[in-house]
Amino acid sequence: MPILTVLIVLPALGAALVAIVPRRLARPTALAASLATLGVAVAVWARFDPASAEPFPLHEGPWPWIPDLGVAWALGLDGVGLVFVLLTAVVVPAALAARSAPGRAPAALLLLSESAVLGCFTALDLFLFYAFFEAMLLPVLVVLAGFGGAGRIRAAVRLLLYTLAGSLPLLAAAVATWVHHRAAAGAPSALLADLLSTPVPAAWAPWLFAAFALAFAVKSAVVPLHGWLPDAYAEAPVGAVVVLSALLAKAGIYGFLRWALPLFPEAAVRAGPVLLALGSLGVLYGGLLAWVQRDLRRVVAWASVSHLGLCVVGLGAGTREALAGSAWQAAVHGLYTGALFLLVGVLEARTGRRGVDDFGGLAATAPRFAFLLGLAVLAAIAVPGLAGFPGEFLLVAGTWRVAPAAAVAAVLGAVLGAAYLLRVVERVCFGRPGADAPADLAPGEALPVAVLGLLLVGLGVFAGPFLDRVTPATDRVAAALEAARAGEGP
Amino acid sequence: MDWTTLPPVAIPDLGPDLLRASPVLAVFVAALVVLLAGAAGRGRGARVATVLTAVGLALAGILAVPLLLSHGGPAFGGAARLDRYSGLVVLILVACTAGAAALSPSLLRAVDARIPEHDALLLLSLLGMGLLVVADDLLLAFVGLEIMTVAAWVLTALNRSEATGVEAAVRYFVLGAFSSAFLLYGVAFVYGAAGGTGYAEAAVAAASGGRIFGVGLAMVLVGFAFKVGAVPFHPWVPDVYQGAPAPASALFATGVKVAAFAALLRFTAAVLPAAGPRWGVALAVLAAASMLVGAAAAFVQRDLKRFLGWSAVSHTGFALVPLAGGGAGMHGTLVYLAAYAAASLGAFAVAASMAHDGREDPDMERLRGLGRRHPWLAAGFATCLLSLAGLPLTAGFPAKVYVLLAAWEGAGGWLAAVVVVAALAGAAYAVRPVALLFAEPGEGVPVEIGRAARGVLVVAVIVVLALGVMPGPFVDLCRLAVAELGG
Repeated sequence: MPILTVLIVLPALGAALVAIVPRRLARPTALAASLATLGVAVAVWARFDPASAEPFPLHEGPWPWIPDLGVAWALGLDGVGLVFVLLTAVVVPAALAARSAPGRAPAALLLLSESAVLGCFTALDLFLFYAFFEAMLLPVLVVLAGFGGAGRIRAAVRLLLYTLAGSLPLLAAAVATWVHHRAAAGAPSALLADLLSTPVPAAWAPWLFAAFALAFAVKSAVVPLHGWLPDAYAEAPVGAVVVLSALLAKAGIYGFLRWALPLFPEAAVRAGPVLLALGSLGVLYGGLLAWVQRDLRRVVAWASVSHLGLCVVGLGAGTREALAGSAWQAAVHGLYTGALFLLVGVLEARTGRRGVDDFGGLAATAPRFAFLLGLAVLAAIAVPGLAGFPGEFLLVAGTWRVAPAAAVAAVLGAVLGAAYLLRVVERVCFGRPGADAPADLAPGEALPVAVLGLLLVGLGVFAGPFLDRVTPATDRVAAALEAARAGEGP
Repeated sequence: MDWTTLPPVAIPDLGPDLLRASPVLAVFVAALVVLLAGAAGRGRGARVATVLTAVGLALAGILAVPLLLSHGGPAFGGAARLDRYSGLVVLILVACTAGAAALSPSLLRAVDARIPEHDALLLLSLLGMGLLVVADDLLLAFVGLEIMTVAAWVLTALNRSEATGVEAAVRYFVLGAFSSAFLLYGVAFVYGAAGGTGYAEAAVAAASGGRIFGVGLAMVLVGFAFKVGAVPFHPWVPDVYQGAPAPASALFATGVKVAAFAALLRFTAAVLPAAGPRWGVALAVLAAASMLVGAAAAFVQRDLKRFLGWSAVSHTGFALVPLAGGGAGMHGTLVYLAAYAAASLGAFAVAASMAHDGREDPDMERLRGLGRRHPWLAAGFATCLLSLAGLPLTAGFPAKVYVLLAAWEGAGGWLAAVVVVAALAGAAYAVRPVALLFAEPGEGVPVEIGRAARGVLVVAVIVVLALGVMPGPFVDLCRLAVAELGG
């Protein structure tokens, strides 16, 4: 059975079902579809053979899609893809289960987006990847534009324009890569393996890498291309924010690891300092802005900018540890950011407020809420024993070897992160009760966040099995970069 | 002179050719019948005409299928080519005309411009398009172009109570006549240089060069550029799209454009390879200018029809790119046009629904909040607009991919860069109406979308999504059809 194809098709089928079942069954159907997808994802994990010597231990196809162009339905998973697939499969049910979760149309759209996200993390054909990469945003965009807050249209237009500004150059670069391959190999193909076999000329590579990097940097909100992020995160419904922040933003980091770095290693090595600089800038700038925000959602939004900047630092460093840390950090960031946005969403649903100073003393009145918030924040600031720690440790250690300044920036960012996130816990959970005293989480609300929290603890303690699967994949990328560095000479 | 000694003229047996030309002939017969039926009775005439039009279009579509499956070749002594390409394009044209015909009755009733000859004019216009597409000779192409243009001109002027409509018709007539003169003058030069007006003869003359031929070719290309609405020969486009009744504009945006492009494609495929690369560069410059000017002007439009007019100028530029590149990528033009026509038809279905109180009022502000009242219709309209913008899973995406490919392989990096910039601008201006759809409801008279328009919109969305998700089969068809043109 083509399990990866099933994985991609299942949420889309669920979306179709949600659209036609009676209204009161829509939410349970959506949840069931996303849980079934989670089940398939677990089966994928079980089938994945970490000892396999193949670059993609699980793969399907290629089956022709547009034969004229040699574009094919080709899917495959390595360790990096695997963790992102699992992240997706876990986060979407949590987003759909949230009590403040929206009605029929948004649920169907989020499932559609899940399909595209899963496709994006498994596609091995450049055009297929591009199609999924673009398609995953559209449903979220519709949710944002149709069901968001007061500034939703502005936020949606901005998000769309930023994304297109990145992705059209990516399309042009993909076409150029394809044209070069056809000229060099004599047959059209957009398969990753084929494209890798015909490296593009050194004169083109920097431009093509720049175009790829632009698209991925926009998606991951690398400063200064982050302009879409604060408004989108502030205005979108909670479910859409969770999908946007936990999953879509990861596609950029993933895109670097899967496509941009392996296809253009020489250019990537030369662009390393730029990525390091932009990443460090993002870490500090995002951290400082998170510090001054008064709106809980915006605190988490800017924290995202800061933490994704950390991933970019790792990509720029390009060492084995840094790349593994980058992938790890990106995946775990999805878990704790998802949890944080879900918790903020509960406060909003209860009180209609989301200011940092609107609440207080929740540790006494809402202990379940306070506990889960504390747990997510501790994971976010990379306390040892929780999931954030291994990633940040690898990142800083791997970056220190090649770029001590960026490593210092990363550590400073972590300190900043501790400051503004712990302040949120202090203001919200302790001190005098605020204007509103929201009731504690109901079991149904607590469960999705608790599952994410459990994973944050579990991944912190048992990081081994996951890292064992991630590192072979990131090591291959690091090896390609190493070879490019060696070829370039001193 | 002794007339009796002249050699006997061999009358060729036209039977097989006529049989193969049956789709075009069916349109011709249907047009005449509809004209008569419309004249016969006032009240009932219109309804009978509608039914007959539908029958004629269906017949033409069915008869085009054997052509699509055949290999075909020259017909009527080399004046025409009835091949796979003709079959494919005629099918697309029939679909476009059917869409425009479906939109017509309700709108024309709303603005009180319903006349029974209307359907006959649509069919006559289609007849002209058909001739234009099958023509393998500049003179037949000219005849087809004129039939199409004259019918389209009357359609533009149909809404006589509207000042913009009359102005558009006059403008279209003057500029149309001007461009026809260019074309015809060019044909005369080509005839002078090549000794004939067939595309094949022109190709032979092109290979040997010569200034006279060059002048003729340039004038013919200018004539075509007028008809497809490429910058700097575009000024009539936004005015006509705005001034003509929406169904006529829909026909301009889809059928007329596809036919003019299809003829240009056949002509360039036959002649330009022999004429040398600089003509490709000239087309590339036209393409780049059209893409950018059209996109820039579309930004500031408030009138939906005028907006679609400027966007049509921009899309003309995109569709020209594969022609400029020539060679293997030329079927990209056909793919692009099909995608563009389907999405445009959907957009014009909404534009045609914006009449109230006896006049058209396509102010885009009136779309505000449509998404609240009719989420599915708004989503369908948005799908069409986003397909024009080239987003994945819609037909616009593979179309843009083919254009980019052709740009890289033809003119090279600079044209690809222009394509990217223009595509980005195209997405940006398409976003505004989409954003309006999902904004809070506003003041103006709300738009109600009638049954016919809904039908057209639904079909358009289905085609757009089908081409977007599974472009393979259609692209293969286009490639096969265009591959036969060169030789």
